[in-house]
Amino acid sequence: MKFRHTPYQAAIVITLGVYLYYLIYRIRYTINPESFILSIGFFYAEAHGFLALLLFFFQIWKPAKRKWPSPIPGLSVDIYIPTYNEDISILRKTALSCAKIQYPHTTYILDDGNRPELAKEAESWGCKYIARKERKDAKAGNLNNALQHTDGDYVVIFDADFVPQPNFLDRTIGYFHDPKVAFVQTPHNYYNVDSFQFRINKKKEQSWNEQDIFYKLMMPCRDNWNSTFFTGSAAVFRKRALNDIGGIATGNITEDINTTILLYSHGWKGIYHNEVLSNGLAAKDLKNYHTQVLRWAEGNIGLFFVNNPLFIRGLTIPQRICFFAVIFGWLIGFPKLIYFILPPIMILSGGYPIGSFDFSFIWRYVMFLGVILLGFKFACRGYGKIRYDESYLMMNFFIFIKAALKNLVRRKSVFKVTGKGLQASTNILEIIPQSLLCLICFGGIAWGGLKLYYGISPDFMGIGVAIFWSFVNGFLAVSGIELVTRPYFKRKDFRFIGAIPVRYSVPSDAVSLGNVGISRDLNEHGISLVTFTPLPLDKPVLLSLYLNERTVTCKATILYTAHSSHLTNYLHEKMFIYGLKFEGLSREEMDVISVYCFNTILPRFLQRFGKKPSVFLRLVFRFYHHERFRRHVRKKITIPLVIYNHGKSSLLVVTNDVSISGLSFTSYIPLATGTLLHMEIITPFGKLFAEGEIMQMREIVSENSYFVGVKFTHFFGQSEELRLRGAGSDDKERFVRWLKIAANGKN
Amino acid sequence: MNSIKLIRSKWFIVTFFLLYIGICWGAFQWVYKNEILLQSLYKNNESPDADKVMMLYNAMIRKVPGRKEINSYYCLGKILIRVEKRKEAIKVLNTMIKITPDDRSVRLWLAIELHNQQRYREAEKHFVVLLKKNSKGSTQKYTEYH
Repeated sequence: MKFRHTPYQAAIVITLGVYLYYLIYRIRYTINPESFILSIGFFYAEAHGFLALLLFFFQIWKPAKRKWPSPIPGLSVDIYIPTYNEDISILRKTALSCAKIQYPHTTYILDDGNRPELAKEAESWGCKYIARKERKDAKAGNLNNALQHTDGDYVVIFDADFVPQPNFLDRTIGYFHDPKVAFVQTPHNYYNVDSFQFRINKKKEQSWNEQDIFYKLMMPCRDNWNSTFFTGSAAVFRKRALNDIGGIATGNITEDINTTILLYSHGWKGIYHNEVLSNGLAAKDLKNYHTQVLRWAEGNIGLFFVNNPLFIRGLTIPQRICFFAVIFGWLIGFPKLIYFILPPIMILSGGYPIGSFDFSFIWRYVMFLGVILLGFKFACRGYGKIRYDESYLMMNFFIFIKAALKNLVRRKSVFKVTGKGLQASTNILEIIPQSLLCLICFGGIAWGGLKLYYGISPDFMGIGVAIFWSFVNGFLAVSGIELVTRPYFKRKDFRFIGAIPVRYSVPSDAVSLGNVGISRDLNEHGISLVTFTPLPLDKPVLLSLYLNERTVTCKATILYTAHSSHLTNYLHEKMFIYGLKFEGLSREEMDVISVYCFNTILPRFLQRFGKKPSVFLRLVFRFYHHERFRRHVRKKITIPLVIYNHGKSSLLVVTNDVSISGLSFTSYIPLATGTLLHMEIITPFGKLFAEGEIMQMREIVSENSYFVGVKFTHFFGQSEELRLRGAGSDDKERFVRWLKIAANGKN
Repeated sequence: MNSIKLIRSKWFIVTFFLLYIGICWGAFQWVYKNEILLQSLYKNNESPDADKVMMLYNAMIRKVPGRKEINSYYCLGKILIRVEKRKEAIKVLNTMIKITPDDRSVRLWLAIELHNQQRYREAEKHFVVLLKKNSKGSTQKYTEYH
């Protein structure tokens, strides 16, 4: 659609226009000579914000529209997995997933840690092993060393924790039809959604990751300016292009963006393929996260002194703007510091950065603030969450300042690897800036309140505004501290959130044979299982996990049971939650579970939680959502569903939603619309047998996940009569009541 | 108990919060001792204690005030008039005029006080300034003060 992006672009222009008008008004009428330093400091923060917003909006002006070209057969491709000290179990997942990439390739483990045990493991994974004796130039040096020792024409780079999808190369290699394309970058996605960079709202099925806006909006739009950049992992390179610039760039700790600038300056092109084709591990704790952010910030600001995009030859003007925007973006720490500490300073010192808080200023300020917030939110097309973004800045502003100051004094940067292993608890030293800010903000609020109470300052408006912003900043600091000091997960490996059908039985208990439950989360070591019959805590349980076409059967030990308060009253004694640890799984079986988690559960999770309708579309959906026109509201209830073919169980799946007139589920095989299904629905109140017709079927995740919508034809007809087997009339009533009152997402 | 567990403990948060508020309150009382007394005397309808008022006057008249303290000086001026310390009030008004020379209402108040004290020459100077500026609404503000 030609004008699809026009509303967003209009919002951008209006927002910038209002911001500019406000700045002109501020400089002409509101500078306070009596508090000149405060006044100029505040104006600098606002002017910095304007330039930052201008550059940001430039980068999100219009996304490039790309459709993946068909792969070019017969190319020689090498996959590099550079590593230094990452855990071998993490590398194993990456290497095995690389081995499953469908396009022919050779995988290399590039070990800067020079570990003999890894060399042995690499061989067993079918990978080649390259090690260096010296660690010169860190990751860039490691990659350059591999470029000299391998002979593929195309090179894929994955960090040690990045697990690719089997179709990674099929989707990306086709772009090299164009001889000017030097690299194809794909989004970074992180699968450990329990890391503090994520916010998950299970009820609304929404997720937020601080890098969403970068990978899902900014990079596609930068691609439109031919300014996308290599982000260190999940990218394919043409080796000839790398050779043209002398290999991966060194001399800066962010070798990725540095390499990109050099490629562009030599006339090469970059492509951004906006589809999640690999998933990595996000830094699990604050310390490692700050190490990572500091490295990015230091390296990117350092580009100003190494390959300054404003002056380097060969870049187009949009490329210069986009790369300058990257550098400038990391300087946000300074204005943020001013914004955070200015309100309490206003209260404590009595000096105001604004000449007078009169009506003339207030209405302009309110208009400016409203337009900026709404404009930002709208222009971000659903990816901008102001509260979370501000919280992120609150936790990082001092790291940005540190990086800028280190660059200013030209202190040599050291490449530090981000830890991706076990989560460590936050150290009190890491939250000192936020803690001090809390004290200053809440001290300012108390001070301002006392000033007003005793009538020492008659300026209700000025102090009121300062108290408001002190509270906002104090709240952000407190919520940030609360988040990062939460008791951490001691589980080493992340459990993937998703429901799969699981048959369970207690070997010594014939009665419970053949019961079906569902998982809440899963990995190769254990599962959180929801059952409709109680399990004995002291006996091992036999589980059959239905992983698409494969079934893995194993014994499991119950480690915990969820507290009954987790369940709603009407499900008491009807539904049980257990944490189980698998016993005696072979390595091959563990790999099957692991691959299933990465290739099926994770993409389905991302599909469900990754939808980002813009503010405008959300408003439309609020009033015209198709759920409003359903006769019976569908509840997001996940329960096991057995589908029969000629009287035999042919498919075991889990429902997405259920109503008294139909249901939907996700299948790993496509089913034709119009097909009649015979179903056994397993509920907490007994088994329900029904016949239904497939009304719709669509692919939701490539190749292995299909959404199937079914309308009941036999048992849930107009009379809404339920035929229940193995359940009494009380249970039937309770089932109907359950469907009526069950909250979305809670079964 | 490690430091992170400590700062997450409810007891620690409540205790720390109360202590911190207490410290803020104490510091406030100490920093704004004179201003708090001044406000209490100003708000009290009964005739204030002249000794206390003079003590405040002596403490404040020595300072070089800023624009943000104009409210305190205004209150002091009012209290001094209530205890019939008009000469001191005139000194306070003169200080206020130095801080805010464009404030016509304060200038009018000063001019009238000087006139009432039969210091006509000094009063005349201020009346002339007021007339030059052709101030509108000053009389209305004067009535607000008295």
